[in-house]
Amino acid sequence: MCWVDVTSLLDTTTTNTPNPLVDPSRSFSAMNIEALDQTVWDAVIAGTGLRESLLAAALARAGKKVLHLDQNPYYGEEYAALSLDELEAWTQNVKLSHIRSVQYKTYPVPEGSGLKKSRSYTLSLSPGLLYTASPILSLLIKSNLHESLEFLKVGGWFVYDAATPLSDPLKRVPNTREDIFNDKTLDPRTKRVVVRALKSMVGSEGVNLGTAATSSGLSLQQYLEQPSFRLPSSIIVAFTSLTLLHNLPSELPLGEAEERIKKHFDSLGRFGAGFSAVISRYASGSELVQVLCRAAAVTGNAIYVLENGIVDIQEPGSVSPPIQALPNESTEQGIRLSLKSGDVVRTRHVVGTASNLPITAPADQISSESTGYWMSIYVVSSPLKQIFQTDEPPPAAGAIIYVPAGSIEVNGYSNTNPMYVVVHSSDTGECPDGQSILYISMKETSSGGAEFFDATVKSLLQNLTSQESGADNTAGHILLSVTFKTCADLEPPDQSSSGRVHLLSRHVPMIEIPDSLVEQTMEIYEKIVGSRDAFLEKTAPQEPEPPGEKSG
Amino acid sequence: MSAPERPTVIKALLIGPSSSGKTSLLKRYVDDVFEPDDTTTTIGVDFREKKLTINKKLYRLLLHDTAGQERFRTLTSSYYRGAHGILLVYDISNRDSFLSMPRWFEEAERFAPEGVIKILVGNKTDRTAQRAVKASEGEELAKKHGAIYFTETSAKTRDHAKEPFQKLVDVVLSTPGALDPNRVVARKADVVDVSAQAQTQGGGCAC
Repeated sequence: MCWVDVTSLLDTTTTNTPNPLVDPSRSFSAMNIEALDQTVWDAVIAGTGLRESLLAAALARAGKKVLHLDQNPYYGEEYAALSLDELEAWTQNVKLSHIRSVQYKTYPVPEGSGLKKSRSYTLSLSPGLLYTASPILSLLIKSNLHESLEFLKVGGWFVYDAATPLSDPLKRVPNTREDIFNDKTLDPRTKRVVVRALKSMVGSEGVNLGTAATSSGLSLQQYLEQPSFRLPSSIIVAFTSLTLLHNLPSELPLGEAEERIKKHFDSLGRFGAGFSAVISRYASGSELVQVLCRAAAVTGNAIYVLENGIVDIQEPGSVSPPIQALPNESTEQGIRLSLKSGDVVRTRHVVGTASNLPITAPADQISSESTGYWMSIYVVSSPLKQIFQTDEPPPAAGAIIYVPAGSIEVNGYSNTNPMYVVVHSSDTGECPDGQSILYISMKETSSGGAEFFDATVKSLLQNLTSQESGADNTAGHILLSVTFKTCADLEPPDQSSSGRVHLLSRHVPMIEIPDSLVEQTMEIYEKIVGSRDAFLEKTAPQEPEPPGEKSG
Repeated sequence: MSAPERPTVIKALLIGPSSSGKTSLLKRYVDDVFEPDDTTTTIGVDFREKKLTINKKLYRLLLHDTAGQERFRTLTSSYYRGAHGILLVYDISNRDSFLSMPRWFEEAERFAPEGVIKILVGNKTDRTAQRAVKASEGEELAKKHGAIYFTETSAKTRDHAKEPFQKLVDVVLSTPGALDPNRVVARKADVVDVSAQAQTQGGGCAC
């Protein structure tokens, strides 16, 4: 269960606490400030999260004037990529009410195998996985932005079985019918049933036939255990691992599981054989944000200011009834925004999450219904080569390891919830060669939490590196971990009454960059532009309009 | 792509304070034009390209401009990815412009790939009367921050305007390892091609 805290929401917008990351020499010249208030912006966007940046790029490409702000000295918000020093500063200075119990920990290691210099790491708070069938990826491709990004394979999906130390503890989840039939651990009857069960859930030729059971309230486990399938738990766990959902198989609604498994198989083979997902080099989501923000800036329609935010919003309609004001007049007058830097700017629309706007948003409060998660980032001194091997080149740079409930023991207790470990290799450019990054997540439980992560990583390192290096027995070490508790599944907030302040719900990325971000962004885009047509499409380069003139 | 030989790509960036004439310098080099009234920070394109043939080998020089993101010092770290060379440009008629250069060197040092070729450029030599920075000061700064070359230019009068670009290409080509495909930043081999052509139909259903 989660926690409720409204006060810290206010803290983030009203205080001016010095930030250790702030470069004091970076200040605004008088000329620049003038430029900001010489125009009526079409939109002022607070925060450079992925939705905000996607919106900025789409609006700027549609010819809208955008002022894009971020309170932090770096881009990315929930997807920000940080060096070691920045990450340590972040842990000491978390201003987000939904992130708790942050712990930054370094580990004693043999000399020479430790952490390298701070800037050789680009660590994100979430692994930023994208299915190849993701609408975000199609948008990036359609708008040619993929050319500024380098996508790497997320290769294997594994189930970790620490209980069988003699055999390979990592069991690859079969991806295709061939994989299933070639699997020596399955008997012929099981193979046939697995294929039948899969077919019933994902349909053939990508068409979801829909099982009658979908709406019956069955869990994935109940469905796969029913008499017509009677699949063993090892198979049920393999199916579950493909969902990227943190529920136990017995608590995973069938419909949701089906949708996720279908997505996995829909994504397979789109850009090559044997993989369904990709990550962008250099901390995935962060790189997407930066490419989108540059695309916005390149149009000449968007201005970027970091370490600045909105401290006050004054809407013109708040005094007089909206009926009396002609729509055009009120639009021209615009909303007055006071910025942290002391500037006052005018805009037609304001966009941001509640933590970036000076408004109280009751719906954004974390309800007791919200699910809490433990999340952690580990840096380890092993390349973990084995898990990035693929049948076809190029090798993968990402892999997913599913650690089922009950497989890791700490002080006589075992994990009651499953864990996902997303591994990034140094090919991502996120850590030095010879090291890897592990993102671990698990649903919060009443008994224990993060201590299972340490045990899991140690167990993985022991089992994987001993196989890798054979006789010389140089097991990898944990070099660093950053662990925190977070809340997900938040209710979307109500739209502001005026229709010009667009409040985004809080976004807590887990493993995947969710598809829903596109829809959320397009909704606001439509409200500002009037249509969703040509979203993010590049228009022919135009001479920019002089500031102050109405655009579009 | 149908060409028998794929040109080698050289990526170069321009950085430096606002109004130092980065875009003008770029336009002078690529299109040999100077637009005195064009004082906006806008460029409208992601990068400009110059095709070069050196010793019968083809090169594509991709020149990336700051897109105005230097104005509030909000260039993204991704802007620096894969750069072979960086031109750091200041305005010799503006002392503050010159004084801000150490911070630009720091930023380049922080975000650009290791071993990137840096060239310092003092622009606007046509403004003789307003000169606020001595050439010797530029020389000294270049040495201090490991820029391999320093020159003063005028995009307006063409004075030495092509020199920093030509020098950058020369040095990139003559420095062992500068174009090495095994540099992390250039390791393209393991990248997934997600372009529309690469997309296969229908996905790979297991059934």
